[in-house]
Amino acid sequence: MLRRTGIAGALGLSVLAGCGERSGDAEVQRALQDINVVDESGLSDVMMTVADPDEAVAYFARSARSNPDRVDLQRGLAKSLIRAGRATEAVPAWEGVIALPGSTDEDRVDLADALIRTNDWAGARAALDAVPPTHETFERYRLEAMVADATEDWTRADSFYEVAIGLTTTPAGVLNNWGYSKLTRGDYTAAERLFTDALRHDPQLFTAKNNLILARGAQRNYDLPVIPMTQEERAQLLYTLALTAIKQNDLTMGRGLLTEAVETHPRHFEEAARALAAMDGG
Amino acid sequence: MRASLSSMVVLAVLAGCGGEGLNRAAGGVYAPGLAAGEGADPLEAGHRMMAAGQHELALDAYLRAAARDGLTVDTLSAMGSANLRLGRLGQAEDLLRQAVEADPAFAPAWNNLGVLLMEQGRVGEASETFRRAYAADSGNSDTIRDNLRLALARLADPLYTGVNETQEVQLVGFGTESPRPPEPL
Repeated sequence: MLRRTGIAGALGLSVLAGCGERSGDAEVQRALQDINVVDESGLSDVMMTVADPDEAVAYFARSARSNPDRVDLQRGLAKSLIRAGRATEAVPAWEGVIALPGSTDEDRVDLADALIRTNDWAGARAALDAVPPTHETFERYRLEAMVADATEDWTRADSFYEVAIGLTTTPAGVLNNWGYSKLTRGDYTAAERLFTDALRHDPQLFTAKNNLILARGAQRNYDLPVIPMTQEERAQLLYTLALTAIKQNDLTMGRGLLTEAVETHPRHFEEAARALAAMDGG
Repeated sequence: MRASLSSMVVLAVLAGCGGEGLNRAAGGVYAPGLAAGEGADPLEAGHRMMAAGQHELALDAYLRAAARDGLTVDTLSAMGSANLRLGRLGQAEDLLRQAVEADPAFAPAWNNLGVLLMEQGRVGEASETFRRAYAADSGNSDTIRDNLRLALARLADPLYTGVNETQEVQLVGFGTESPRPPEPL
């Protein structure tokens, strides 16, 4: 029975094969190549988003080596290096992308980002200057503002921060940066307002909470503000406030805050306990 | 029995070769093919399914529309909103973000993205999103204005826990939105 059906099936297939005259090896190859491109771009997406960064670096390095003229693979390699925290290697990777014919202005902005990560502010400024002024994106203005901050060009920085905030729906990070910039200049009230704005947009942003405490502490305002925080964060913020107080020579206040930090933390708070012991000993 | 089975296989295979195939003229043993004439517009059909509360069917219709028109801002936004109604927030967010990237002037996509962000409790981003929806619509939609007002009120009250929830943000689109005021004569 099985064999008979098998024979019949084979006969049917051979008859069917007679239907399409054009099926050739070349066509199959071409079709498979298309499938491979689709597969590959899907895999690239996965590697760029959810894959382990180091694995992504290995994948893109291998594919970029076999197709050195594909700009998307080179770009993927550079982006994965940033994701893996290897900024020093990412700089030459981005420079390689820019040298290719298919590169965009976005790539130059990303090069500037990599240069900032390696602390090369002059290089970042040069990379941003190479971007034409019509390329107005959030990322560009965010980086321009950071570069202006680094050269202490405050008016430029302020205007860049303002533009960047208008270009995004998630301005918490930039508001925090702007606040930190104000904190550096010693404009504590403005900084406090900006950190509060950042927290309004993203109540989970611990950096902004910590900076807010620093700004208030610098004005000798040693109360915790009313912001949503966990018990652990509260202890951490009290510790920051204590250190600020001690630096400003408000020693009694600092000791009180350190004690409170140790008592507030749900577990043993090593740093605060050590600081408290050092104060009591000295 | 064996012989008839194998001959049926051969016949079935051979049938693929014939010009007419199964779509033969009525009167034979075969069912007639599809009715002549144009089918309903799948996008419109999807909007009606959404209005009737059949979100899964609406999503199917939108997928057919996407197969016909490609991933335009309309189909992306419609699929995103249907997914949002079905509670698949992650997929909906992906589609709606693609939609607003494809056309930043398409107000329903911005609004529905804002609704999604409110659902997830990301009020800060939601308020910015509603602001863009309101701007894209030139302030013509009451629904979007109410959504923006609610988001801003929530934003101003960071300790809000949603205990006395009485108002919720509304989706727009699907042809249910109040029409734009007529052009002045």
